[in-house]
Amino acid sequence: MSELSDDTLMSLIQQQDERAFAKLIDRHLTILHAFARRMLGNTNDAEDVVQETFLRVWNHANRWKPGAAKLSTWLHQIVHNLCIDLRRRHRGKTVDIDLEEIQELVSTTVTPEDCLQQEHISREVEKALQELPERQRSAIILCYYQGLSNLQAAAVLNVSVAALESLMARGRRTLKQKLQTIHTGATYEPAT
Amino acid sequence: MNQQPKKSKIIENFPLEDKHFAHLLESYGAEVKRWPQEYQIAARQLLDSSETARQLQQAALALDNLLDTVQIPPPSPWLRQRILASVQRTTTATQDIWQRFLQWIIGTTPLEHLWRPAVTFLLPLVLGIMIGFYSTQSIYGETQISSVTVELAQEVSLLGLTSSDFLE
Repeated sequence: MSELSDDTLMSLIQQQDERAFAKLIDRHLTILHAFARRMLGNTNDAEDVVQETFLRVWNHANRWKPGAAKLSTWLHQIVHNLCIDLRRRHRGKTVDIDLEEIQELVSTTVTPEDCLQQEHISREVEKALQELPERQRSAIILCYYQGLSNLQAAAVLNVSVAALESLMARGRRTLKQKLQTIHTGATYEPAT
Repeated sequence: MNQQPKKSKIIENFPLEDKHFAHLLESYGAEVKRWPQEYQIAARQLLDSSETARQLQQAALALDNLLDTVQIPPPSPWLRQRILASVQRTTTATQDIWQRFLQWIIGTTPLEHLWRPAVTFLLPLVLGIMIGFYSTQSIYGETQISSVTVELAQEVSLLGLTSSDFLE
């Protein structure tokens, strides 16, 4: 089962094969979770989105047409649409970034000062990413973090490759401006 | 599902102009391996030969390093189970409706084995007959009502004439 292609797994899922479905989850869960987490800045919402994505794959497996696009593109497209819907429903609310998670992730750093500095940088970058316009953020996350090719990312966003490149360039310019102080190497001094 | 954008032709060995190189840096970041395959060889050649290109790459690398500080924890170990359980619930719920319906039709006792399938097949037949009967009756009824209405109108008109005559 492990060596089966995504297309083969999908054709088995179309016949309600739960083992093939479990295999598909194992193959794509982590990457889709990372995508939703980066899009939403919140683990609980990200997990709900990923669960809903796989549920849709199971219920609408017959819509999958092998050869039309890569399965990962289709999955990213579903996650992306769900994330956009969720963000629109939550519009006006503050972005809920999991600070505890960031602390856990940077805790491997040696000194407490370094740890604090790293934590601050990570939080600022994530905040800046969340504040980007929707499509610019999506473009950067899809290409930079998710490692999708420009063709795949353009397909997820339903734009041309040129438009995708423009979105990424504008997004990165905005990020550079927002993170100017960190970018130029200014150190973070916590309030006493 | 959306269609993939048209694939660009892969050109593996062509000179990359500084301006185009800068645009690609701005879009895809400093790491050439993240760039579209068709530009990677040309970009490496330019980086080998141009100091300006290397400086531009260093500037882009600073932002890449910042972006790399955002790490995502792995999903919770229960998420996989949650997904599988939700799918099984959906499947079971759909199966349940049909299974219960079939079970009801078949019945569980010898008597039920007889009367339930009979009811299931006879009920639509009886309903059809009833609908047909009532619709015929209502048409017949309407005809009757219309003849009664004409008679009534005639009587009223007669009364009306009488009353108008009387008034005059």
